[in-house]
Amino acid sequence: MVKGISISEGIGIGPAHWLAQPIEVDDAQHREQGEAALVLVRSLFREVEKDIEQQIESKRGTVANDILGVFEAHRLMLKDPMFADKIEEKIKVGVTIQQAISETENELMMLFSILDDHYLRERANDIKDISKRLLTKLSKGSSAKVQARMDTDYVLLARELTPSDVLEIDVQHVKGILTVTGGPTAHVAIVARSLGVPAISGIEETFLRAIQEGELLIIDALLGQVHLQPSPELVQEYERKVASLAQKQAELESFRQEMAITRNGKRVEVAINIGNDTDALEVKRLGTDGIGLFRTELFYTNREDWPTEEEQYQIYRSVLEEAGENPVVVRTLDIGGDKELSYLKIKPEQNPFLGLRAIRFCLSRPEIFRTQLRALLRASTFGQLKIMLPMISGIEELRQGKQLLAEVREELVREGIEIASKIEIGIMVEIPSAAIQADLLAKEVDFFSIGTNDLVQYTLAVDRLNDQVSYLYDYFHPAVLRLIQLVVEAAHREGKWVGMCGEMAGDPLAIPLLLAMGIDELSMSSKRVLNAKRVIKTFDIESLHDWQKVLEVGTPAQVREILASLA
Amino acid sequence: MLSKQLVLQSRGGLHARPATFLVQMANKYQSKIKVVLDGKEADGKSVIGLLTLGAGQGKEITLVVDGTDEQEAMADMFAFLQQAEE
Repeated sequence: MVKGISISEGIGIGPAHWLAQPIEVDDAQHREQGEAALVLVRSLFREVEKDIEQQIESKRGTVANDILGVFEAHRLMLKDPMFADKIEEKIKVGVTIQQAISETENELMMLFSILDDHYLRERANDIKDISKRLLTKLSKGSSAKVQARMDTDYVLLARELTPSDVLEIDVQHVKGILTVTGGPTAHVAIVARSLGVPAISGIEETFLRAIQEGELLIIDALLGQVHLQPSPELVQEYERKVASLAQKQAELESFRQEMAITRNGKRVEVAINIGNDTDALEVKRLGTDGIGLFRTELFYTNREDWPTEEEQYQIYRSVLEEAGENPVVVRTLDIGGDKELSYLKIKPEQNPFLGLRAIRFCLSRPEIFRTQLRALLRASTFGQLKIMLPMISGIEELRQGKQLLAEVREELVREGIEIASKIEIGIMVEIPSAAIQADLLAKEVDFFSIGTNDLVQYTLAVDRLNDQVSYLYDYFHPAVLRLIQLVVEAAHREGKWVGMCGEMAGDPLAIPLLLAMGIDELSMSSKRVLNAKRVIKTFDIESLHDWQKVLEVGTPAQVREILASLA
Repeated sequence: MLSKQLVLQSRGGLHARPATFLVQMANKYQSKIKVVLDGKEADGKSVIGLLTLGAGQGKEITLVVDGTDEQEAMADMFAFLQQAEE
């Protein structure tokens, strides 16, 4: 058994099948030179262009715009004189077609790799992808082999997969994917998840290479394990697991297109938490009501300098476009605490979680905050943007944040930039003082979103990362529940909506209680959405008519007991 | 042959998507299109060329258009670059 990183959950059993690698092209087969080689290479370009156009057409509407954008970029790159001319020049001086393509690829990759810009590095990948397409076209022999295998089930093996490889996959027969490269945010992962194909990456190359074509494999992408040459008993065991998973999934699938309405007719919005633009795909795939928490700090980490306004604008815009009519709640930068930036020196703090983080940091560095707000407002015309300020501890911070936002809006209007006329501004309620003063804060916001992860930590004074005390961390603590109730009531008295975006929002045991309390929106990890919808649809308010008991008892254990007995 | 100068004011200049849009636009015309920066030339129909030109914010570029439809091409592309400045 070998471990890897699960990038798309599920279990798959089947014979191994290697993706045809164009590297295996037999150069001897293509001895065409001069005019003949030029004619051949031009026809390769035309054929690949036709393939790309067909792919764009056939996938339109089924995959996110940003993935289609990749193919549009490929088409443009294919027609790029700097690419095509370079290849032709090489052929004219007697280089073989394969070599001409590979050399040009390497030269351009070099040219791009010295440029320090995320977007440009992506373009380097485009060059890699189209070179591979051209070479695959050239080696018609091996691509025919792929076709022949398409009639039976298999587990696809490859060192790495390009987005176009993944889109070529025949979902009917691919039971799983194993690769060496590609993390959870790679295009491969996103496409695999959207196709529902289990996938594991990060497999050690020597191990992967040792797997023979046709060898039986089990890939357990729940645990991130690959079983090679499994015993008949293990295969049987996994076949049972696959069957029970499929049954559970089929039950949940029926909730995909359902709106989340309780039996007594209350409409609850079920939204997802995302951390990057590609996660936004899940909004439509799962039939959710939008994005309840878009964490923006991921654009700030893993880089060497602050992201520019333009970079952020492109990302916000693509998320808003992907979500379409559905609201997108963007949380402004939340760094500090356990989230550090390599290029930002913060004075060492004794208690980082009680220190300069989130809104406090943003207000202390307005130039950084302004850049984000400008990017957000500029993107606002592309969807239903709502802005959420994190770590608000009192009314002053809220007012300062709103003031800055108003200034930025005015500045953009002066520059003649169009901005959505109405953008809701809300706060994340995650500090007890904000919950206690929710009645006052509610008058000055459009919405609340309760962030239970930090609210629990601050209310119970428990560091959930410290394993000596983390047993105390529990969102079913009656003191936390009282605060939640306070916040919900305060919001509703002012006619504002209130959501929740912490772990608790997706917990099937907590959802009935939250519904009884009157919460309007639940935002959770996309994995929990279908089950949450099931819980909401089958929820009967009658069964929880005396839910307020949970506020009177003393311990989390008693709360769980009450909820379990009611369920 | 027509040529016009302008200063790129948008953040990121001719990086990222504007370069892609510019090429898509340039491909609609017969004319040869060049973007010149500090004596370096890039083919206006090449994304690779434009991206590696390094035409960032605040740089002064010259747009050179030459061909049968140069009038329309210049008007269209100049307008786009000015719009992209916002």
